[in-house]
Amino acid sequence: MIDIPESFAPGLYIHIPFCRSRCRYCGFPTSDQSDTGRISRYLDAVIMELHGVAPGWNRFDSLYLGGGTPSIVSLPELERLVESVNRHVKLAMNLEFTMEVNAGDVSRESVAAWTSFGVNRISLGVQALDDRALHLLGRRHTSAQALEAVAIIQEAGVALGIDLIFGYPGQTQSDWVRTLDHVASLHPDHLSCYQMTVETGTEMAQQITSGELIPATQDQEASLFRITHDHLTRRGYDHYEISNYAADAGRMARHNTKYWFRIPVLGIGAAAHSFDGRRRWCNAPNAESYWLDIESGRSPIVNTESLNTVDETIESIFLGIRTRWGFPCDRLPPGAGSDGRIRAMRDAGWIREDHGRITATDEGFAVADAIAEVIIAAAGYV
Amino acid sequence: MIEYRNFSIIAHIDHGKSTLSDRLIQATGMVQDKDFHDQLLDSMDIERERGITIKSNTICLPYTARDGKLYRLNLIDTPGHVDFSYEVSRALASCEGVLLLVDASQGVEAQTLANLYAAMEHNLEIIPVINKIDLPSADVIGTLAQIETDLGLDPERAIMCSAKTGQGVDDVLEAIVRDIPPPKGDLEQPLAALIFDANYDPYRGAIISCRVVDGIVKPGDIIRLMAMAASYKVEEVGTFGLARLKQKSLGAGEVGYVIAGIKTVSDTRIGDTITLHQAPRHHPLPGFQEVKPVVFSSVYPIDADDFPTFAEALEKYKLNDASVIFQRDSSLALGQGFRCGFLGLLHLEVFQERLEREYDQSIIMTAPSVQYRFIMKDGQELLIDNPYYYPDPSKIEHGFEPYIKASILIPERYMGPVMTLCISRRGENSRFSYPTPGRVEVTFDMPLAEVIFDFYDKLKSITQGYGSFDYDMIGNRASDLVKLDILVNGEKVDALSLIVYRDRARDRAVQICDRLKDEIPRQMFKIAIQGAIGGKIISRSTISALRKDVLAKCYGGDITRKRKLLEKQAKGKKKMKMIGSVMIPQKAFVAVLKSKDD
Ligand SMILES: Nc1nc2c(ncn2[C@@H]2O[C@H](COP(=O)(O)OP(=O)(O)O)[C@@H](O)[C@H]2O)c(=O)[nH]1
Ligand code: SF4
Repeated sequence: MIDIPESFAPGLYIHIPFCRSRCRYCGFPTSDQSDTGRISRYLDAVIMELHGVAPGWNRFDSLYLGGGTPSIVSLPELERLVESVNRHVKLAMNLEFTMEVNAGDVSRESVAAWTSFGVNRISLGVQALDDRALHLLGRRHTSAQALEAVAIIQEAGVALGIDLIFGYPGQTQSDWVRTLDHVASLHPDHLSCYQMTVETGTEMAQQITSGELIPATQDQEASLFRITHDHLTRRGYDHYEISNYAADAGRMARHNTKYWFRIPVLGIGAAAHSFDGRRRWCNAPNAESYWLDIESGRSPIVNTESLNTVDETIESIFLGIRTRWGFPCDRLPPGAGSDGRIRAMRDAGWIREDHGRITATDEGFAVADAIAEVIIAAAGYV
Repeated sequence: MIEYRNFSIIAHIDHGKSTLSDRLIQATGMVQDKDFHDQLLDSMDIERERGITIKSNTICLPYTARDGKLYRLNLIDTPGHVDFSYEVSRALASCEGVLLLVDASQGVEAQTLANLYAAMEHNLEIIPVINKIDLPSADVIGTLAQIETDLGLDPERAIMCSAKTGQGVDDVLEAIVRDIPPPKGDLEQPLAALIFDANYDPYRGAIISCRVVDGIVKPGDIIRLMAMAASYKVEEVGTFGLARLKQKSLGAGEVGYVIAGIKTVSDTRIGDTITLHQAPRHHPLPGFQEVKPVVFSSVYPIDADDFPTFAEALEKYKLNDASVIFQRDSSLALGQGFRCGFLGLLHLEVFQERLEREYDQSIIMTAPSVQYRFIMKDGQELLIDNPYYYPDPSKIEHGFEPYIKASILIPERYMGPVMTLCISRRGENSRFSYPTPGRVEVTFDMPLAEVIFDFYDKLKSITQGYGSFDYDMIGNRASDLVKLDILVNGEKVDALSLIVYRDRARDRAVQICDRLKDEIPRQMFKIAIQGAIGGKIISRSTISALRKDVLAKCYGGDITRKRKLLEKQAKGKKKMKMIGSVMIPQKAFVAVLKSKDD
């Protein structure tokens, strides 16, 4: 068991809600109207928000530029954003600075520029390594581009995280094994393997409703999940969260991990979510509503929720169980451990108790939400 | 001097009975248009939604006729379902005439006929009323022809109206005065009043609705309820306006209410005769029957901790529904509850809905059962309506189950499928008659048990709603019965046990295993569901273990959403019943009561 990263400083998240085209499965509030005028207007607003709120926060030790597709922002615009971050925000010396990047936007020049801005970790949206699948997903890059991007990033010596998707309609186990093997052979520092969730209202959801595409069954998903675990752990990757694998403990995604340990994160930009340890809030959902708020001097916050102790406990249970550190037994009321349902989960090999923490087993990871439901019900938190 | 007319409206569902009732109330000036709230007579939500009247209401309409005389028209509403046919018969027995309402755009339908027969049995004056003449699709000529040929009534006397626009409503009122005979009765005779309904009032107790046939009743009288053999002192009598209207007395021919310090409606019986204690009548009015429950089911609160409030709600419920009977019951799977008896399946459904809706109870009901009779080898006789008390099979000499005579009235074209349905439900001794051209009345002798499982719904669907169904109990017949148990991971779920006809057991067992497989969510381990008779397994289904249930991404905005969802689901889990370590949702208990293809 590696040390539990409980002492992280807060993270800063900046959202870039623009993409060049929309992926078929994406239900994210992002805009494919990404002309420079709009991006520039948006960044003005972001800088203004940063200026207003970030100084009130402690020193951040992670900065995450997410989207959307941050890599479509032009280099000068990006430089402008980074400069203002440096000016307004206290950053730790050992800052982890991650940028989400589309493989189609990677070139030696762009990577060099990004690193010069301080980016030291790139999260590359590869998703799949076969062009038919990429087309089905509606991604605008090819697999050749993705492989080239990996080479360029690795050559530049920047930490690399690769995002993959599995469980999309029509994907076979051997498709997935091939992709995994290929990607693992590239030795990225980090891998996120997300099972596809088809959001309602997306193009793919319609294709499924109309019968054009057939979604994976629960058993197929479970097998793919299992295969992912087996293949990557065999290659030495550490399966430290449901969807995340690190080449070693030092290469976990520090920023991402904050969400599961309930460490404060300040979110800047449209649809960005923040958490300060007691409250969660989020900003106006899209670029337009966001910049209108900022430009007219209004707060872009649309929703704030204060958590009570029970909310906090529930969060630490269902977020904790997603990681291989689980959550401390004392989150449960005394005696809950002998509840029939919790015992049944132990007997079924879903959870175990270890060093005063309850953790999900490898099998348990696949059903972590069900585990959390049962625990919350058995503990009487609802 | 005021004259009375006592009448009912009978009609097929949706032909406009409630609308016409409202219109009559309005036309006689009892309410202002602006505070008129629709369909006053149908007061219960469920009635409104289903368009059926369960508890009848009565209203007295003051009406000055074209002849200048003042009349009091008592409109006696009747319940509209076979389970309550006895109540209908008592309401009709309190009238001299009926309006037979027919929708001009639909014509005569199955239930119109059934209702007509009921009215004829009571020798009532029948006034055909053709409604909805405002509709472009109204076929008045065709409907008139049907009234003559199908119903054998004089079309010349039919009244045309639109309950919606009010057109012709005056003619309806005139016809009531002109054609329905005034009530006969002798004020000098000893008191005889027919009880046709009773309602509960939290301050006054039972409010009896009755028709005075002979004599007179007034406050201060000591009355005697003949069948109950109980006497009470009359506190108040009156007639039904929009509220109760106190009167000095009720005399022969009048319809009204009596309040006599009777605690609950269970202390009264519909069809009973009220007479005077001092000067009683020799014989009660004819037609009284003690109605007995024929369908039984156990009722449990979903959350066993809610038992006290649940028991309280049942007590309250019973104040207004004397036909339900209760007895304490308990189940290993479901905890403390009550075994209840009902007049029929609809009665059971109404009970269930009212408890959930009006009394805010979340309940689980077990599969309805009929009452079986067993003659044991030692000569003992047992009446069993609860599978839990099914006797040791090796000691049973004979088993008997209740049979009904089912009468189904349908357009001829549905004859084939209806026959098939009845035969598949062990119907035998079929007979046919053709009351009117194009329509068949099919009668079958059938086990009541076959009707309480899913029969109405099936009949409705195969006849597209045109089949009307009625039944009479015709006694017990010998039957080869077994107890079917359902096991979940080897544990018997007592609440799912059934007494069934032996040849039916396998089908039912397979069906139940299938339904449970669909309704029980996948859990941590494989779940085996088995149907068994004695120790012998006769059906089986398996629910494989849950293998995947986790959100792939859980970052900033996903967290609040996920927490809310989890809380909701955890609440659902908390409500599930634990059988061993298997969680069974409430809806699984309900689902086994229905077959899958509906
Ligand atoms: N057009 C028209 N609709 C009517 C008339 N009478 C009733 N209805 C409608 O027919 C439907 C059924 O009426 P309702 O009185 O509830 O029928 P019940 O089931 O016999 O009580 C309702 O939607 C009424 O509004 C009428 O004379 N003309
Ligand atoms: S790149 Fe990401 S945010 Fe943009 S459309 Fe595709 S999935 Fe959605």
